Amino acid sequence: MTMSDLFIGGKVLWLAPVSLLVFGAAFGLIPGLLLRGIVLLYPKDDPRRQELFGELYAPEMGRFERYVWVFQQLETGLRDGLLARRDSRHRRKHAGKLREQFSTNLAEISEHNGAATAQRSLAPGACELSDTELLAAVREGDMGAYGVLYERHLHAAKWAASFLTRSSAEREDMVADAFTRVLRVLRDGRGPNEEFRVYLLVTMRNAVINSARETTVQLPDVPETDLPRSDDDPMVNRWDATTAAKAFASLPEKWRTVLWHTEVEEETPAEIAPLLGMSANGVAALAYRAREGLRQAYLQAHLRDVEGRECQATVSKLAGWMRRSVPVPLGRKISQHLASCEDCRARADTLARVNQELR
Amino acid sequence: MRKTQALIQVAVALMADPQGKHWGYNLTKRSGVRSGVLYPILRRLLDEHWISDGWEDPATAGGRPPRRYYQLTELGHQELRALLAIAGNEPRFQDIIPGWAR
Repeated sequence: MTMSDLFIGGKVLWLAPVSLLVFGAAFGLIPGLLLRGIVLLYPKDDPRRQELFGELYAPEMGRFERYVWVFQQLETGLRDGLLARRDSRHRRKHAGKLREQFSTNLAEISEHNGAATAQRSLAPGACELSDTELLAAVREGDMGAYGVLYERHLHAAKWAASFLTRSSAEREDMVADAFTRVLRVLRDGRGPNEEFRVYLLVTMRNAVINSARETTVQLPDVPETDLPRSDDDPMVNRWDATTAAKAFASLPEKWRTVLWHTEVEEETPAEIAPLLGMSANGVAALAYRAREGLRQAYLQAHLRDVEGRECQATVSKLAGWMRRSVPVPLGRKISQHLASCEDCRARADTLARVNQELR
Repeated sequence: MRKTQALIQVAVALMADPQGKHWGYNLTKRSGVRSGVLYPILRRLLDEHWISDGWEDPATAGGRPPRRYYQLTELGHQELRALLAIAGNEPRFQDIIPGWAR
């Protein structure tokens, strides 16, 4: 082989990719096309599939930066995407196994009791599967799993419904309706993956809100930050309960679940741990953070929307400020605003009183 | 969450604008963490509820695909501040944590 052979060989080798790049640069096609292939590394329902296209066409990304960035995404996809794929396959497989387990359980019970009673025979104590696992099984079409969920959460649903309804007949209707709605949602492949109880209770709450909207009751105007005058006024207790409910509803799902189990049902972290698929220590830490979150949300729920940009900015962070969890510069700004704004100072005073009661 | 160099860099980038919306690409640039490391970190932060995500309004995106943004939650803000305060005392992080974040 001579030097000129090598040169020609080298030239041919280089010609193909170089002309491809020139072609791509001229038409701006390559990054988009490549990315279309790369996102296939992610599971089908992963939001990152859309996210990456949003990034690619973002105005801040330069035309040539795109090429470098897309090649980086290849690496990212191989790591992050394939890991996410493995996790989601694991979840699906797990759900399949559960269904088998349930079907055999159900078949055994059916043999003894007859098919009609099979669902009721699965007592809550008899099933040690977490809600997450049961929900996956329901999505796969297992009614027995939904039966277990029903038994497990019926008591809580009735308890919550009793606050939202006037008669026991209404309460039973509401509970039955909520379970049916959630089942329908689950069968459509939507709905919660882990926090079944919270989802169920929110479903009931929404049903109440919707029926209230239909009856169009005129509510009187309520002045800002009016606080209860006396403790034994039933309206006051009611008002306080609504505020607490509002605060509770504004928390992230995970916090609501852990608070429900620790505060309402008074279960220990060790009891809750298997339900949430966490360690007992993890549950205790989560409950601690959730309680602080609830305190802040509860305080914040005492404040209504206000006019004026500076007042809005202050009021939206007032609860955090009172619990000392806002960044220092923001805290300084809020203090400054309070010094100059009488309205906000009054709101802060109100909040301080509520805060004191929380301790 | 284990304190890695990359996590600290991402934390600093997020805390530089605790109220703001952060885009993935912008975060890689500001934190200096490449996307192959950044995205798994964001996934973990989302799982912990330390950040929340959302999508840009398609109306303001003007025809291009909407971007996904990440925002610190109150909890994440607290946790990351604590994390940076602790990491600020470790010599290996001296160079990457600016004074304001300690």
